[in-house]
Amino acid sequence: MHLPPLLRRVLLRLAGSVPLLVLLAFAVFAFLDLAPGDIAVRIAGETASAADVDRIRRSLGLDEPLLSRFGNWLADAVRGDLGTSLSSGEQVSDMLASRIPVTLSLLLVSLSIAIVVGFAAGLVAALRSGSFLDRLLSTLSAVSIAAPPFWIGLVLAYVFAIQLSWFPAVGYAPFADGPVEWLRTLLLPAIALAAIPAAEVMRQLRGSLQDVLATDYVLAARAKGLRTTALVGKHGLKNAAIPVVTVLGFRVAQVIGSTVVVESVFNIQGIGSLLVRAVLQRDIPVVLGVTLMTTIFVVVVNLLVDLSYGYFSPRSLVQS
Amino acid sequence: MTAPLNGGEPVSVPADAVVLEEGVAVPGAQPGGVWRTLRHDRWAMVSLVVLVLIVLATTAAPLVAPQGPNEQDLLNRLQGPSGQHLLGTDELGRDLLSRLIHGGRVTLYGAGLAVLVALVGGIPLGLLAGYRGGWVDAVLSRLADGLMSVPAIVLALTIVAVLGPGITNAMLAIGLVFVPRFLRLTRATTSDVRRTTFIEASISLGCPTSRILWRHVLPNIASSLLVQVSLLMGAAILAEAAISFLGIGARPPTASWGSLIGGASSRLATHPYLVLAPGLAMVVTVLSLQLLADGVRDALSRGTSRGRA
Repeated sequence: MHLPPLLRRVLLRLAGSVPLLVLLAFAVFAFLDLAPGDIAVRIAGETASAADVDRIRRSLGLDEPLLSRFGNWLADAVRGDLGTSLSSGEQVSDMLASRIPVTLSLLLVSLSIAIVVGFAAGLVAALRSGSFLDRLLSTLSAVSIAAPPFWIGLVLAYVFAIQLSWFPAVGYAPFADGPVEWLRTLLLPAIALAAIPAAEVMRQLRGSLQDVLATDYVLAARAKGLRTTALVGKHGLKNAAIPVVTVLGFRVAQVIGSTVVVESVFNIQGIGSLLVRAVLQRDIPVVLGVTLMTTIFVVVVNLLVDLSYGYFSPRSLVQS
Repeated sequence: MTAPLNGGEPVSVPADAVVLEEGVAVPGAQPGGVWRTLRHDRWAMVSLVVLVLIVLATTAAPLVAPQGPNEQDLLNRLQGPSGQHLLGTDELGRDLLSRLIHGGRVTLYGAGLAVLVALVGGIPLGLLAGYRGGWVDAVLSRLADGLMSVPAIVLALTIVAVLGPGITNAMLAIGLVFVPRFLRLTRATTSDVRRTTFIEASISLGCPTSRILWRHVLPNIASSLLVQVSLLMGAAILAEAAISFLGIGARPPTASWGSLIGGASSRLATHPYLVLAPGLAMVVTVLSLQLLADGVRDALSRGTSRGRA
């Protein structure tokens, strides 16, 4: 009986983000159209005749007006055809498909680290509020929010890959080659990416857990003789989770942005390094494809965050 | 009651008028009161001193730095710290300390530019959305939400793909990406102020909208904007670092904190301090900006609670 309103919410939200995505795609499309330099001339080469350039321009459909070109691109994009790369001639969708698992692996490992470390640190800081450990963790979190993730990555690579040789300094091993090797290649970049969200989770959890532990119902439960572990587990964490999840949702866009740079540091062939190369080569279809892909991902994650409120706090379902 | 127009004294908002995003309560407190509270916040004061020193040193870089940023000394390449070169030299024998100071100037210029673009774009749009409300507000807010779901660096890279690389283009792009943050903040505060009685009084007395916005609304959101400027300045410094590291912002031989790390990353195994030093400079600066923002926010909310007590 719970499903219909939930399903309606999901569908409404998804439908609501479609105009946004189309508008964004058009803005990026129109903006990239302003790029100086004639694409047809670039493809044909400097020495090509005017007739050759003209032929290429027509074959790419570049002689049509902006709106009809966007219409065509959109019609293709909806069917999963994002055009071909200007520099390599590959299908953009194929390039994305081969790199998405890499970036997703990185995001998955780093968010797991952020959640585990952030929750543990936040729990300790809230329960031992004011102690030396609490202050140490708060200082650490402030510093890791102030440091650029790619620089943390470089420092980690120096200590753990170059000096201690515990992990490979660069590269990526697919999951199919064995989960241990996969994790070994991902761990350092994932820690670098996890630093900021872990610190945010810790701060948020510390704050909201302290609030929850100060409420009357927790005091009542304590008076009835409930032990601290049960108290925190049963009442504290679940109620403190909502702001934490919200913060994580906010941070997802930022973490994806950092992925772009961290992938370059560790020479991981994911979405980020693809984007950097495409920008340097002005490979417009690839840039457009990556921008849209990441935006869709952020929209979906934010949707999941919204839906998780229903699990952590069923009353939010009734209110909305 | 004094009429708040025709050169009369500007009316100050009741102390508890404005509450904005992230639970920051902004009183109509006098700046002097906030400063008095802030002065007793040790960490905020330390941060302020550090920031002033950094700004002074980088602004006066040619006077402060021991050498020019691109002065080469090929006989003394890749040297460790010494009396002559306090932080050692890089692969072309350039003094690292001098490059750090000059690089800080480029980084702070870039970050300042981005924040300025965000302010110039975000405040007027936020005032418009918050004051007019209705469909204008709905459209602008939806656009801001949409822009915020594109990762900042991704959008900046997209813009750089068109405008071409360079620190100015890259930071203009970052500034554009930050516009929604000021828009949302200004919108939220403005629409709260908009509903207060004294604004209603001003309108009914025939005070022109521009004057209401300038004399009554803006002064009341100034302090929360200040907190946001400090935080976004930190974010912009980190963004500059990322973009210059990728070789899309400041480009060699120009030094910025990001391009210094990018240029030295290939020598990480043999000369780690070349990577370490610019990163530490960045951490100190961004941390100071955050601590200062925290201090101002605390001072603001304490001002409110004292006013209510």
